[in-house]
Amino acid sequence: MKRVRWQQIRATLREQCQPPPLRSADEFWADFRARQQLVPQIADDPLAVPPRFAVSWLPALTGLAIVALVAVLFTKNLHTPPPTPVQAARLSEVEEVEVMVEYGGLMIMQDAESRGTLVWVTGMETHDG
Amino acid sequence: MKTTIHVAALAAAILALAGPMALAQGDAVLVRLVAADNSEAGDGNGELADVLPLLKDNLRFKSYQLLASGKVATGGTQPTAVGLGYSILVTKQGANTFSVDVSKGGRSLVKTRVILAPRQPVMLGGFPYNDDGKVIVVVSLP
Amino acid sequence: MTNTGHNESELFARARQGDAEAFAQLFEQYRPTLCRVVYRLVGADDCEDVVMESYLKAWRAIPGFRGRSALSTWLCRIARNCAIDWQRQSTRRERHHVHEYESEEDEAPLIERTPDEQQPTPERQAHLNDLGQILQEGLAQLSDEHRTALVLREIDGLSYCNVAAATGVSIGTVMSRLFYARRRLRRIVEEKLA
Repeated sequence: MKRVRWQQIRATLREQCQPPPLRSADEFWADFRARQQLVPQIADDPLAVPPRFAVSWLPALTGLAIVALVAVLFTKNLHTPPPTPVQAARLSEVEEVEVMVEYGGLMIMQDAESRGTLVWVTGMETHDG
Repeated sequence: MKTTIHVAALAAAILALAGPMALAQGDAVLVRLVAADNSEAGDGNGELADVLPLLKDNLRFKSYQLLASGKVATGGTQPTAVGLGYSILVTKQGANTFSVDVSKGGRSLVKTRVILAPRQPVMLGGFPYNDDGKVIVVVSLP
Repeated sequence: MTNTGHNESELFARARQGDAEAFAQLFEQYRPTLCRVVYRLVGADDCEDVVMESYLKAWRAIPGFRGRSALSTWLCRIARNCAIDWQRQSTRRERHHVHEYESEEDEAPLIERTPDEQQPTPERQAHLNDLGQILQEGLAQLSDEHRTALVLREIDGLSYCNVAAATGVSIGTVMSRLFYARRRLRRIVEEKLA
């Protein structure tokens, strides 16, 4: 039986099965902006809102001002920082794996008990020697 | 002449310190090269204590030996040799997110993108080693 | 790399506060991936509409995004849900690939299987040694799940996370589907070429 390299299969598939071309970015986003104005964003949890959106405190009375200052400081300590698109995972995570040589199979195992992540590639053909 | 020597010595001292200082948290990852096979060598090196449970639970090898260990900086453009002909290129792509490229003999074998959590190694395995063994590359935050 | 990360964080923060321009700048980089995913799920006719719908849903929901996954993965998940909703609502059932709609999963196919391809004519038989033709035959023989995973990964170049998000399964399932699909497709090809 004639053996066919996977790279050859992949390259042929990519030639044959290309999706249609993308619409231009300008055109797409102009269309988006026209529609976006009709779509309200879902309001975020008020506790996660940065401090600058916090309610402004009443001035004037010294006692109230001191209490207000303490309350603001206490509330600021409760705020969590704005989430970033990437946060540290509880377990290490594998986002992507690309095997550059011929191989048989690929497994990814996460073990919460052992607290580790294993990526295992079988049948790698490195053509050593 | 004395001034020149002093300046040279000072420059050398700064350069010598610049290396370790540059490898601040997040600028390097710890890489360990582990050989797994069915020899009777056992599980030497206490430095594998954190990864042995996972390896033993999921793989069938009798012996796991640490071959090499060291920090690999993330800012370089050239791979770092880690032993047995293997090289690693690590690039930082975000908070605790790294691309890890394992190559051998100048040929890229496996590329991954990982998010590393403290004390939680990622093990990349299956690279050939001797006749019946495998090499495992263990990547973790220092 | 660090500058890109800071820029993205800034755009993300502004988008969450209702800055549409920041949203566009942040999400334009994912549009090729999103279009590929949607194209594979719903086909060419509805692709543009579903992509737009996906972005509008992302716009609506971004203030609540907590960063538990990458933005691209989150988008793929939204796209999958939009594609499913779109197909349920769509009244246009007359498609070339009616055969696929009869499957239990009711997922849109990736490669159209017209009736004449199922019974090779003598003329088609003459072309079977061509790898491209063989691959089309082979892809058609895979199940929808295996073909979807294979195309999204091998042709569209999606990450495993994004394939999982786009198909609504775990990464482990994506791995096993890919392993099976590659092995099956290669066997079909090798048998035809033998």
